[in-house]
Amino acid sequence: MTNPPPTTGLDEYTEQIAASVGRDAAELVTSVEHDAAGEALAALHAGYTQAAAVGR
Amino acid sequence: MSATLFDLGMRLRAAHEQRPVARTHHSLALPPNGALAVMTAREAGELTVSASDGEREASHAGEDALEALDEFEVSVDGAHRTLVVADHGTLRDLLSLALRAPERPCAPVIAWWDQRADHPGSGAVHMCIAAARARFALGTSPEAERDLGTWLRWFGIDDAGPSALLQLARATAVGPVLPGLLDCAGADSRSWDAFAKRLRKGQDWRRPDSRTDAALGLATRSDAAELFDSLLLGDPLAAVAASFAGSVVCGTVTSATKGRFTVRADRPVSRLRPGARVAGWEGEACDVQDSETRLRDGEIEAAAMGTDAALDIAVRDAVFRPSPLGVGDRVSLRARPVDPFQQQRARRNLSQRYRTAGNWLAGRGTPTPRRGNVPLDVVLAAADEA
Amino acid sequence: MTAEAPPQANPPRVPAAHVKNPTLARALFAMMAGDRAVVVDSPPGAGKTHLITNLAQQLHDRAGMTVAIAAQTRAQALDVANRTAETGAAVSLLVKHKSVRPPGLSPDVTLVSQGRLRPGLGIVVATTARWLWTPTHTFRTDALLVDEAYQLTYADLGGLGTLADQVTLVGDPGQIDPVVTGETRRWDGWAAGPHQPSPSALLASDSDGHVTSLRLPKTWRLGPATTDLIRPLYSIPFESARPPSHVEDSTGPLPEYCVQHVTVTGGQADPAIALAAATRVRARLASGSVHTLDGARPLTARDVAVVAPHVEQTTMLAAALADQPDVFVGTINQAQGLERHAVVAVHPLAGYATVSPFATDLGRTCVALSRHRSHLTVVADDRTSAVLARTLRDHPEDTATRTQQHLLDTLTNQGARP
Repeated sequence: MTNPPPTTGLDEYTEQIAASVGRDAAELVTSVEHDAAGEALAALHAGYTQAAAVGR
Repeated sequence: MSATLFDLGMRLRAAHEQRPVARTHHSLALPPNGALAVMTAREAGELTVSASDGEREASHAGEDALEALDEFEVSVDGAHRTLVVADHGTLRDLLSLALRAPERPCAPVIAWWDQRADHPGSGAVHMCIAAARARFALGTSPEAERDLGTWLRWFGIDDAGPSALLQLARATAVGPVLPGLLDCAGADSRSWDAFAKRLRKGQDWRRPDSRTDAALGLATRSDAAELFDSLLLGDPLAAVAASFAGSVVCGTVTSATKGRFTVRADRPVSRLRPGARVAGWEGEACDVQDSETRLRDGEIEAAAMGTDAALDIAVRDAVFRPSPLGVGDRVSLRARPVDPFQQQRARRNLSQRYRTAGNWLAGRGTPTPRRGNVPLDVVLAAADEA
Repeated sequence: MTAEAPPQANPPRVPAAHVKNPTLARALFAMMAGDRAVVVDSPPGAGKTHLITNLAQQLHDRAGMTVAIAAQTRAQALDVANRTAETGAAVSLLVKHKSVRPPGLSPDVTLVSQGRLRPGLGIVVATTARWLWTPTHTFRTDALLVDEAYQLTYADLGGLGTLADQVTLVGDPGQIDPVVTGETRRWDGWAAGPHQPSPSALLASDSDGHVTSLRLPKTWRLGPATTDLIRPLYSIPFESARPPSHVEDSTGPLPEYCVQHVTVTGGQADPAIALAAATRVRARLASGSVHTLDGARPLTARDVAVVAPHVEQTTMLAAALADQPDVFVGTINQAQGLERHAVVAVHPLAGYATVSPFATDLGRTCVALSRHRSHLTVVADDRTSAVLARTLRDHPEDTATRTQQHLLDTLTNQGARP
């Protein structure tokens, strides 16, 4: 794939969600790959790891 | 909130991998074989309809816009065909054209597609954007996922016309079909046959719904929505997502006696209330298909939050196959699956009640007038000022 | 000359509930006279169940009519059966299987199973769901009374129509619409659509003027300030007839309602919301007393309810109040029909940075604001006023948002913070 698909609006959406759980957006993005403690980040991590990539 | 965060995790994964990620293991739609994709566009007040079956394309505008469908011999004669559109907007455009040209062979078919589109799980109309959103997550905001162009870019589909919709529909329908979905296709065939039969008897497809049509129409739509949601919980990935929303509850068995057990839930959110009939399986949410021990039936006796902020759920009248779970076993609970045959019986029952002679509340006839005597004390009290 | 029969020593006492209740009397008149349908609109706490149970009793005992009562949930059916039994009428509760007697059912209520249902039983109470499965050819009554009729769809009312020729629908038009899972866009804008609440749809279909429309004019639960607060949510007029009742704490009498503002940063599931509400509940339990015409007594857990729009919020509240199991904790949807002296309600827009139709739904807000007899504390997000104002700037035509703004202004300005 020559051009990666556009991540339209993802940054703003992540900030919105981060603000609504009282966290920093950057903290959310970096923690997503780790099995962090706490209910909020556990859900985020589960969504990240459960998602299976689909080839085109 | 947990469900929203789970969803965000999927989006971040999609963005990192630069490809769509699956929300479900199964396809939630049948492959669009023999389907007809249609796009509408409005320019200078004139509607253009473009249609494609994957091999050839037709496009017409203005008064003759529906010629695009007639070219593909869309009519009530013969078998029904899946319509592939981007969203409801296209259907609305087609319906408005059909009402202006009701004599065209495709006009009643458009009306039938419009009805079936209200039934989740139906294979009669494939709404590309909604179907793609249900099947995949993209590395974008939810808002961006409402745009067709976003999906075409993420799937690398370069075409612009209706054949692009067919390609997207095919990409959305990869994988094993969700168990139970094929039966929904059966409902489409029965609906088509009944629709064609009524037309052959001379019924005008533009006729507004009678009370009976409306009541049964609401019943078929509600049943389809409830059945589809129920079938979805049989998908491992969907079950995991549901465990963050409380419609699947995972936990550990803390006590077990004959026909009764208690569960300490992993998370304190549960949509399973006392009195609800439940089913389940041994293991985690993702084990829904593979687990060999199943809870066939049970009823939530109690669901109480302890002072340690943990949720304890008690289930009675529990029927396990092949054998009951014990203390320490992992279990996942869900609302008892919807039975489509029970739904059918309920609809037949409602239909019979609506057709019962004398049922004036259902719009059938007027009641036999009954004049009774009213005691004087009632007459006087009724005349009093409030 | 014919001898006259001697007067009876003890003539049967004629029930008199209708003498002081013109609405009940008019409903009775209409049904006894043979009118096809009666709709009775009832604001919260106006005596809906009192009307239905006494109507059933008199139609049966005085007019010799057989009566079916349809309730919308099992809990409601139980309550109606019990209260009908209290009038002295012979009443049965229809259940699937007779083997299990529902806990809390009065010993004066007979249980009857589907298979044993026969004409002439008198007054039979069942849920709508159970009535819809009663064979149409084996059981009919003279009258069908529907409780909480605004929670019943017009589609289901048509299904009940095989039971009787005459029907009375009683319900609260200001509350939450019937729950419908199917797509209804086909019938958008049709007042008599299948998804519409049955009383309004029946009236909309009534081109011949055969439906008698009545209203209960007084609320016996809500005080004057609360009545003024929720009156804009109703098209029917009503007044407060509640006897004096208030809650006091260590500072003195508390107003009928007040607002507790809380700063919310974590969305609807921000623990600050549940914490504020739970703290308020504990404060009331610690030093609260109920004052009525019967005297004063301490406020107990059974006098208190805390309600919130979202399951996640009630989860946190239940955890925070786990040591007080007698305090009702539930969603606003679950609290329909509930009454308590003191209520703490989480404002439907708490945690919202933008409005949504769920959050601004007026029926849900109405239920939240009308559960309390003596005192209500609304826990509100201190941003909500600005959120509503911003929405109205962009969408001045949004009537639900405008009404929400008006309600919040009234709550804040009229309800003094203790």
